[in-house]
Amino acid sequence: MKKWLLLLAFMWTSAASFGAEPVDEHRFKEVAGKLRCPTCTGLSVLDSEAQFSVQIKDEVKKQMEAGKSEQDILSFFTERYGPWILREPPKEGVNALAWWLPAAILVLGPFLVWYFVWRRETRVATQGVRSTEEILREMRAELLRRKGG
Amino acid sequence: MAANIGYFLLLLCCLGSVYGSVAAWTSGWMRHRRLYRSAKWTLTAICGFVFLASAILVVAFFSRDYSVLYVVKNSSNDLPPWFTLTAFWSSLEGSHLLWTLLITLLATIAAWTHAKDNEHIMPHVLGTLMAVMAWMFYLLVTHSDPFVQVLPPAPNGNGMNELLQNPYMVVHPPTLFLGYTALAIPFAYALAALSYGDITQGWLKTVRRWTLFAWIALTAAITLGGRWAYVELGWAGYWAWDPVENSSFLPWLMATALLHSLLVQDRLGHLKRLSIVLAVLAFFLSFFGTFITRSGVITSVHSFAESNIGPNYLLYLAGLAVVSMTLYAFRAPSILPSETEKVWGVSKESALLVTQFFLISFAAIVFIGTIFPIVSEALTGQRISVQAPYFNAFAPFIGFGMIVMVAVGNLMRYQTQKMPGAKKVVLWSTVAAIPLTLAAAYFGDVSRTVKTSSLIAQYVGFYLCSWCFGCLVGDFILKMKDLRWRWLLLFKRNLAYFGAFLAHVGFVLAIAGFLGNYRGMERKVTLNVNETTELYQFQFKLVDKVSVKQEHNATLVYSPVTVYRNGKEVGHVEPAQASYPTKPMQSFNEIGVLGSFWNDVYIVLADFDKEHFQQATLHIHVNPTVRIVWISVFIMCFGGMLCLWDRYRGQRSRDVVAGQFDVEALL
Repeated sequence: MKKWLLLLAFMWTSAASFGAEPVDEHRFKEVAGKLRCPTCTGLSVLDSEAQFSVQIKDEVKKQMEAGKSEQDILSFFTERYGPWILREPPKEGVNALAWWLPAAILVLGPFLVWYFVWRRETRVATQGVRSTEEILREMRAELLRRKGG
Repeated sequence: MAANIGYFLLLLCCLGSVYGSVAAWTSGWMRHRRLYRSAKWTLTAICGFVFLASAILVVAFFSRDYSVLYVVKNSSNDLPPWFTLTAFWSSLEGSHLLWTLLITLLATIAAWTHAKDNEHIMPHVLGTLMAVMAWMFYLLVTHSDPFVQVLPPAPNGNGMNELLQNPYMVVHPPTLFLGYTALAIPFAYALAALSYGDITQGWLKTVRRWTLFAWIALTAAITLGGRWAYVELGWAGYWAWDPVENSSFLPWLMATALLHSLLVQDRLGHLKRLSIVLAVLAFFLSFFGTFITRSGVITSVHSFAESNIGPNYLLYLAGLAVVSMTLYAFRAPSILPSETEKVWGVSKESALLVTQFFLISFAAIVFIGTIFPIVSEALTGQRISVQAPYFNAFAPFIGFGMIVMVAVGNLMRYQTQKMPGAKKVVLWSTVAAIPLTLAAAYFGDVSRTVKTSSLIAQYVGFYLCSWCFGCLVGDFILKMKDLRWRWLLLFKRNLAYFGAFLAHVGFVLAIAGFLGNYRGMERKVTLNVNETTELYQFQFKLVDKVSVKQEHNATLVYSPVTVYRNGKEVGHVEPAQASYPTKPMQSFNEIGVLGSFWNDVYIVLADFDKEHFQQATLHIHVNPTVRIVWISVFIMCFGGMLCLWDRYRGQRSRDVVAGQFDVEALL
């Protein structure tokens, strides 16, 4: 039984790659997962069965069989469709901001919290605003004054 | 005819809201009681009218009144009754009406059920709510009018969006809108506190209730939406970091942060201004989400309408931002923290603050990722994509931070760095987490992950989750020891603690569930009748030839598959391709989902032998721990509901407020 299954699986993979050296499935998924499906929203070509995605997947498979590296394949598609085809923004130029901003928030954020909140307790008193206790005292004095006057 | 009445009612509501808003603000300013009452009754009347208008639309749908354009566009004669109702909110105009209906309903409830000591800020609250309503009604009568008519009526409609003909779409949109609209009330209270110049005593209780309610609704709605994507779209996932998913997630993050800052405010009277900012942001972001959905600035699954409503939304968002920021800039200094002896340092309040930092930074990152494509295109003229890998690059850091804060924060105590018993709990959980991790790894079969980095991530993730779970349970035991295990006392006096405990456990469980995304398996295979294939522990047998069946308005071509687990039958599924008479050329996936606690089996019928029906090409996925995610959300929502029933939280107010001075007692 298992043998048959294995044979079936083998036949399926080999049929997919047209008899050529079978593409390393895992590596293929890595690359296909980094390219966006041009016609869907939010999905990679790997997750999509749209016509366009299937074409891209076939192209990826073909290039992998030709022995191209992941970087080569990705830059091939970037040249063809622009950086839009990649699911992540490129890490250069203006787009680097998309990477630096969150990193800055995570690294500098705790410092800001410390600066604005932890240090606050000493500053509140020096701003000259009246505390509730102070207002109470004033109101009491005012009422007493009116009562007396 | 009826449609004209509906439009007239909406127009009336629009004018009424404008009047009500002006009247409420004026009454707040002049302290005019009768004017306030008139605003309140106007609101109530509007609520009735908008219900009537919605009823007219519902009746138009059910009577197949194709003289109404919206009915023509979104329904057809063959639509079953529950989807006829769903068609109401399946497109721009109707969902807008539903949203307006809900905000009016909740505003009316808020107006009639406010706490006694909030009476003097209620004019401001109603003024704000009715200003928002006025704008929504304005849109309903101008840019998204659901009562536009076409004459003569068409014999049949164009049909409802087929992707939305799914049970989850019956409940997902109303729940989501309920969450969004419930956030309007904390927002209105925040603006009221600013314009009044102080936080009143009942403020906290009311805002806490509504935020909690919104939080529960949003949690449920986001999950229902994910569940819809899971069973309808066929890519075997429930969360794609799609722009609109993100924008439903942003208000959730804000509501969560708000709940935690309200906790500090309740206990210590601090972080009042942060609460106000968060309430405003949560509301703002809920509309930002709609802006994205409706305007089509970002392409998304959800941008179902191209309309000129976009610029209006932008104007509204800008107005909202300007008004809130101006009010905040001028009035925030009057909102003072109470004079608590000792705050911050190593204590629970600090832990809560750091938790909020993580929640808010997460929101900031998601926000940046969502709008970055627009910003980048405007700056460079080149289009880029920001999709799941980007968000997944940052999410683990936030997740790590939050898990640590949940564990440590719960053990900490307010205003003191002493944590009695905490050391023991942390140590014990560090040890106890090891067998828990191993058990999870064994049952979830983590070792089948191919990539080493993912494997490590999962082990670390499971360990941290188990550790956090241990800390939570340890803290619970400490609390119960203090109460000498009197459960009744806990439920009576500190139900909110128990609810929060459950919600946190749910959160940790959810993170553990998300880890399953690292080790999904799939296979695409073509089966003949009575042929079997295997994936992981499961065997799949095509038991009969591909057949056709009719299910209400859908024609399903289905392939009967029986699933075995290690040779034992676990169930039968019929993954299908559905086609609808309104879109004969297209087919839609009906996925066969089946599974155990640890693994979901997910079968898509990708293709079939169209001549002899003897063959089916199946795309089979084994998705680990998906079910754990659904369970965890259920636990979270249940915990949240328990918190809602707590009678004591938010009652305490440590600071004296102007509206509450008892003058006689002072003398």
